[in-house]
Amino acid sequence: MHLVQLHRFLYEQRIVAPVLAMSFAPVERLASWISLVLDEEMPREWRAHTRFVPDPSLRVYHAYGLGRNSRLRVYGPRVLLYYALRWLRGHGIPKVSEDPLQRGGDFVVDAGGRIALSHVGVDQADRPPVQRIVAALQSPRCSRPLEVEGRNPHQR
Amino acid sequence: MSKRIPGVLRIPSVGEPAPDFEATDVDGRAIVLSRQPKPIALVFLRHLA
Repeated sequence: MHLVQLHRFLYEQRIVAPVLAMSFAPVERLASWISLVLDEEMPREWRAHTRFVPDPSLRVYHAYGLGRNSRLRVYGPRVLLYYALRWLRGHGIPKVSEDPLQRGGDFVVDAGGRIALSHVGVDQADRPPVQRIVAALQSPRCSRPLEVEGRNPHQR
Repeated sequence: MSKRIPGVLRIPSVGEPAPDFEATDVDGRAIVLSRQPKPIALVFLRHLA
């Protein structure tokens, strides 16, 4: 899961970075998912600086241009291959209770309030490598260096 | 002068101001993006598996 991969990378690199995880699921469903699914895959200490935000009206999703994908992109060959590989690895095919066509995306906002990374995948399996997200968080344009736990980032 | 078509969604590009928003997190706490510590990552999830 992309969100787990990002948090694992941040934790293993000892990088402290705030994350807003947006979901268009209702608040009760999101809270349930966090406790029943996410807690199984991600220790809470990994997400100490993360906040989960329900957006069932899609107001924020739409503010970031995230509408619905086409059925071809959701159920196209690349995505079918992705889920086939998941199934072969024993992860199973997830049951979906929300709109499977709603797009997701990844953004980084720099210290000046400007977009430093903008990634909306061409299909449902397309997410940026977590290293790219972290690189955007750490880029000079973000101006304020990220805190690295355990050591001063300015020390040489 | 270009005419804005209502209902057309536009993905913000690198370098543009990030659309500000107010929301409430799953714990009931208010969030205003412009008041959050930055840099910050926004991960918009798809359907919950």
